[in-house]
Amino acid sequence: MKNFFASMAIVLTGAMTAIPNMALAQNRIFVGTVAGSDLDGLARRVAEVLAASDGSRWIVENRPGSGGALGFDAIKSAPADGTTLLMAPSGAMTLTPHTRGNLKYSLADVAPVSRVAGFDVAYIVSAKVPATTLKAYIDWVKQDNARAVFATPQFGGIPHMFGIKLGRAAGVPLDNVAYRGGGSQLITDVVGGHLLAASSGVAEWLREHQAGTVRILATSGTKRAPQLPNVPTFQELGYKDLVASISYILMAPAQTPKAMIDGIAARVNKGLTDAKLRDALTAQGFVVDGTAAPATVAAELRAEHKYWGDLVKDTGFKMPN
Amino acid sequence: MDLFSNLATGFGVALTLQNLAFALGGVFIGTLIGVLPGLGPVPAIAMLLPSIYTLDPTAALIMLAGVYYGAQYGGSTTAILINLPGESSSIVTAIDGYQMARKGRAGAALAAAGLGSFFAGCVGTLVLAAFAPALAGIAFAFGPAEYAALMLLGLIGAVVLASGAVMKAVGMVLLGLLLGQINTDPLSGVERFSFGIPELTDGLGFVAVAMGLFGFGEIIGNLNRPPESREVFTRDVKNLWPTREDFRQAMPAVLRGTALGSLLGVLPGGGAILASFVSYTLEKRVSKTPERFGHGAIEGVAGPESANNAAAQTSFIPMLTLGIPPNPVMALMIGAMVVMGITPGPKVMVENPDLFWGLIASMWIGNLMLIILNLPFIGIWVKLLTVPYRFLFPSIVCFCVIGLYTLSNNNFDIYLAGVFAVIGFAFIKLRCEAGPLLLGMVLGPMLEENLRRTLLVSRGDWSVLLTRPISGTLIAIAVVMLVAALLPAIRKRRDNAFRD
Repeated sequence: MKNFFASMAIVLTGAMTAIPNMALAQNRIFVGTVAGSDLDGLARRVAEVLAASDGSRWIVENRPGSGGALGFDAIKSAPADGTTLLMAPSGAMTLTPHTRGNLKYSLADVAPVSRVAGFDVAYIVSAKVPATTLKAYIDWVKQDNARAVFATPQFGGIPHMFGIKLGRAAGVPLDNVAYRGGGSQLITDVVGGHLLAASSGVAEWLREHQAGTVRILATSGTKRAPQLPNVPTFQELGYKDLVASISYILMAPAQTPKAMIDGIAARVNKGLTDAKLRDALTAQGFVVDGTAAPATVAAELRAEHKYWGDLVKDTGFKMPN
Repeated sequence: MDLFSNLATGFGVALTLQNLAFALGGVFIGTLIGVLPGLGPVPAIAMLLPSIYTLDPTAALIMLAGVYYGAQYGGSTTAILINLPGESSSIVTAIDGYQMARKGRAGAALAAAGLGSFFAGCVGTLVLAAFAPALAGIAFAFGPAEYAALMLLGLIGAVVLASGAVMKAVGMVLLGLLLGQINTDPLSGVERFSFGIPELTDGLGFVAVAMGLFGFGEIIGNLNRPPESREVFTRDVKNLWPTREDFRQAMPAVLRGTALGSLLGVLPGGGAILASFVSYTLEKRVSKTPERFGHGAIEGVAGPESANNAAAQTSFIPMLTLGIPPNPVMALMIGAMVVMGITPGPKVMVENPDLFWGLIASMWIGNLMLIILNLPFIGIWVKLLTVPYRFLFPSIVCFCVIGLYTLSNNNFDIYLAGVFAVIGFAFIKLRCEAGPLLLGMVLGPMLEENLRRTLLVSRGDWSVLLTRPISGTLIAIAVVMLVAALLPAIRKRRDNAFRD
């Protein structure tokens, strides 16, 4: 009887942590963030798509830490046999290598499989700012230097670089105030008017924009964001060079055979055409992709890598170590 | 009325099958660790943190809250039956409760404690529901300056209201602030004190540190004490229902205890523990027969038990509405919220109304579950007191380590917890409270970030911190608290209050 109660106590304390570990599966997708991030959610969708396509078992393994670098550590030492993949934001390979000096991975360590989905960068102002267009906002900032401040979810990320570039193109010295990976404080600080403007991914701001508590002035794609048909792009407003997007890339270790990569890409990209999945992801603010072949994605990423490299050199931007 | 529609929302959330299950799980674990002497709600919540990562935040907080107030019930069982308070807020319950048990009236004592706690828990929850929204109106007025001031207030509060020596508390907060500096500065991207270890660039893991300090440290500390001889009054727990005379004596004590607890719980600092002490003193003072106290007076059980439970509920007010933790349990809850991406503060009520009201409604349900768990099933808990530690502790440690690994699928968190287990044990030996350290570690980086955002927006003008009404008021309160703590007369009284 004694031991029965002891074991009850033990089972209760441990059950919730122990169960997920028991389900050992063959195939893994690494993600460099904690469970529950939008990247993690997207990776889980991809795992479902892969599993549904041929009945194989896929799990998402979170390796958070060091700004996503631990995910790359994991994929670098993983077998290049198509059983282990990594999903990461494009900026981790195209922008971060230019800004962080001590990075232990590069674009050459991975072979892209698919550009799964992404979203544009949005320039957002608080509803307390009188300007309703980008031009009016720029003029309003020029009147008072104290207004030339914009928030970003993360220091040194694509939205940050984009804001710097906007400041240069528009001729206003915009100062950055970075947050810790976005989240609710950045949004409420802009809604409350404590920060008057932000450069950030579109997805997080759709609800506030529709509620009228913030205004998205422009988005960074070559086309308007599907969720925001009335918001112009920077290109439409005359800023020809202001194009960028944040996309989530599925990739394999660099040595993975090409045929294997093409096979996985075909399964994932076919799964992404499912209307129900597309609707669900669009509602979350994503623009679903999955259209380009692996070789095309690789070429695009090399071009983006050069684009951000030139921009970083051009602006003299430097991470402090 | 708003209150009712809010509570309706809350019950809608709390009554889903998932949340009911987590409330039950929480109060069950709470009762369990309350019953086990030596394990309190702080180590228990610290140990549960890894498993809540992937949960829905509402369910997770419902469970953690259940552990906290469940421990208040469970603690009294041990106090009454074996004179070992299972939890610090039931220390006074042991005085008269154990005497009642020795006189063969264990059943009546348990019932008085249980029913008193239930009544107080319900009233405390109502107080929480009624008064919390008054503070919600200022939600969007909170920007970086206000957060910076709030964090400053929280840090100073942690020093002023920690029990024990002020200098030790100051030292612990400072140590926590220093540990909080290990990270990548979010505003400039500088890696600080990471020594090339990638895991350190995201800062020390709150969960690993908390589990090391509180969970493992407490276990080592417990094993360091000589085993107590245990006299368990198992056979005597038969006639649970108190007599009419018992009711007549206990009722006013329950009412007074509830009122006291509801008030004291809101204050930062002692909360539940303080409330139970004050209630016992009050009952003894108003009694016509004070000589019965210490020899099995039912008021001495009913009053403090009601007080500690009411305080346990109302201590959620500062935590949920301002993000200021009034005690270490609430500090852990705040840590858990941060981990799940919720910024503690007045905005929680606005942004996560489901979480806020669901949590409050779940407390009623949890209290009801507890009275059922604790009175009819009392025999089960009594049996548990006979499980030897040599089986219990190794199993707990084993599952904690599994939990730590699952945090980020990395051995680093386990090593980190191991290091902090040794540090935690050293703190117990040195009689240093680890709570202020943890607060410093959590609040420090938030204070720094928000202060620097304030200064960036104000273009380096420090005066905004004082001229903005909310941040100015918060800083004024912090200064008053600090001065009060340093004045010798008040300090003496404070030391006496904690000496009892």
